[in-house]
Amino acid sequence: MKQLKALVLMQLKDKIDLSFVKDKRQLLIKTILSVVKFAAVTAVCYLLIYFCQLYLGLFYVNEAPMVMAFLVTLLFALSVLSCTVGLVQTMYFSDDNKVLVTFPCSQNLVFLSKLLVFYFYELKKSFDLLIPIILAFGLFLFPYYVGIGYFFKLWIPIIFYAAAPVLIGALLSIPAFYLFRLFKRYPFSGVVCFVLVLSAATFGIVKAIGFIPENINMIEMLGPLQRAIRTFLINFENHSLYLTEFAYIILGEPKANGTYSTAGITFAKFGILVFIEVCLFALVFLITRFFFYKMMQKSFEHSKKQIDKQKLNKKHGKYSTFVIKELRIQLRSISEMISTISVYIAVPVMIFFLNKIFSAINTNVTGDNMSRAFNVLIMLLPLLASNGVVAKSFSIEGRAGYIKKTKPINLIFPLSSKLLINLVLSIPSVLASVLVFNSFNNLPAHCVVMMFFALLFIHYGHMFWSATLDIMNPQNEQYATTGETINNKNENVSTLVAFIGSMALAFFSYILFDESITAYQNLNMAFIKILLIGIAVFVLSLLMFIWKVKAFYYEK
Amino acid sequence: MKKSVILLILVVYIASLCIVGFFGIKLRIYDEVVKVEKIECVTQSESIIKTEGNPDLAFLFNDGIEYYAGYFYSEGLSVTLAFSVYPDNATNKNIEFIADASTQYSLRDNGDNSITITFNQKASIVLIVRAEDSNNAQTKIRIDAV
Repeated sequence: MKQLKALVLMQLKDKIDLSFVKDKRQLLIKTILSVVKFAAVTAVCYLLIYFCQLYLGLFYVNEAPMVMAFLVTLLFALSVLSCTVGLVQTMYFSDDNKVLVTFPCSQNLVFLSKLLVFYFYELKKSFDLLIPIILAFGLFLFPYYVGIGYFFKLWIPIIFYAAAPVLIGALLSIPAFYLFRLFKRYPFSGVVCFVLVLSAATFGIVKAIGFIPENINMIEMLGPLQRAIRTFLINFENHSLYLTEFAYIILGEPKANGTYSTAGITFAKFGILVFIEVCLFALVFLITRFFFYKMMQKSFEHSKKQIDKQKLNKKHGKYSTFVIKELRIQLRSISEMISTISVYIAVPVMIFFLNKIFSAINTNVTGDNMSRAFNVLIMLLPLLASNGVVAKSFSIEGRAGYIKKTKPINLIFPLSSKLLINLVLSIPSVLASVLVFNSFNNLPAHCVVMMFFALLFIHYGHMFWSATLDIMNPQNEQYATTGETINNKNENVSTLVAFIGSMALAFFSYILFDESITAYQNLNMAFIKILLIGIAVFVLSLLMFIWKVKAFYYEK
Repeated sequence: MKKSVILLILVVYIASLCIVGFFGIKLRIYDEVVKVEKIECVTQSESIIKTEGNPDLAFLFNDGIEYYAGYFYSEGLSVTLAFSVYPDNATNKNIEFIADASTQYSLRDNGDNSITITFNQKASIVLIVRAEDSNNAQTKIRIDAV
């Protein structure tokens, strides 16, 4: 037991930063911030439920448990997916496996410690969204439909609920591992898979666009929408294979007066849940553990290929060397390349879908300005959010990142060559998005050009700022041990600024469009101002990047 | 990109559709009455030409604001003419048919904005098709049975 505890604590340290526990002041600050964050998310969930029920009338009050059951089941499905992917990485491809294999403890303890660490991490993640949603529904239904006991009895089922996706993920990790290994060994298969998924997605989108009615009036559609939601919820409960029963373990059984309370059958359902999890655990222990050590060893024992053929060392130019190096690093990891390209492909498709719906709505002048502003928001938001990868691109090198300081060349170039792929790929994406937007809005050519450059400069500005953030706050040590980190501060800050910046610019764009139409009956002035903002953001970010690199890397 | 970021982007996407859909739509007059503005004959001339040994001709000609159509038939035939009203969202789409009474032909209003004219002998009829609402939208058609 002591060995298991040591293994779990050692691996947990890498996943969750527990350094604040030793410092009382840090512990207090961290606790208060966590409680505030939890309360804020719960409040937002409660307000959303309140708004959807009271103002939009999307469901009746007594149907709230069905909505909760649907959301909990949806989160469960997403958790199974993320647990499967996460467990494959953690159990078979993690860098610390090389050390764990050598420990003087039984294989079972190493395996159990991996599962326990992932379970604790899932339990921690449930405080981010699942528990706030359950609490928000409880607050919404209290006191007429649920009693005060709801808020005390929900914790025990959640402890068991968090284990289910981990156990199912552990079972699914075996076929997922073979799939990952196939993609690693034959990168072309990953590309083929990606092309197939992309084709299916494109086909799905084209079909979905065919379903968009020619005239959309959301107020008139509210009635049919309410009925459709009701029918969907009833059908979902009938066909969900008892996955929604977990929500009723927390809520209790419905009584004749519409209230919910714990009955004998609730305990029976809870007992069934525990029994299912025990069976799953037994299956995982028998099947997955058997393959665990074998596959864990296979994942790094043969990771170095024998070089049979000698190749001449080709000398490249001092600038092209870094570009080729970054290209090779990017293309080495197919999954990262696919996730980068996916964003750039998805943005024009999203804009097309968005404008197709907007064109079906009979909008007034305010609606036209809002639709333009939302186009700016939807174009910028995914692009800027994807710069979170840039905010960890230098830290992800781990301890190899310190070699940067030894390069006999002006460091601006090798550092900015890391951004080259993103800089280049974003051009066709932004261009396609702007052209799609213009096909629905028929703006003059100079407005289209100004919009393209404005969005591109803002994207580039945010990219350079994210890179500066990573240079100034390196997280190399986090990546040095496990090869991955869950909570990179730089990535979080970059994503947060992306959201705030996109929304601020969209709001500002709306005001500019409104002013420009009122004063000049055209949008020229608005686009000129947005372009000036874009240029300012880019120039300032680029200058800051250059100055910070000089200050950080060159000591005078 | 993290799962939570993708979810947030989707939420913003759906919220943008809802916001424009609720707050950006054009005001519509409640219970607005839309009047008929144009009446058009949709029956193609080729479908009512009878070519039983006779070289029948059909032609269309315009004269100012009224619409004339000349269709030539063999005698003793019935012809059904169908009409469409514009715009599509007109409140009262009913039309009435006005023609001089005659023993040379008989008229039957089919009730679905179409009329059947049965010729008993060689004759000529000028049919006025008028909208029932007070917009006075109308069209005039002339049919000759030869």
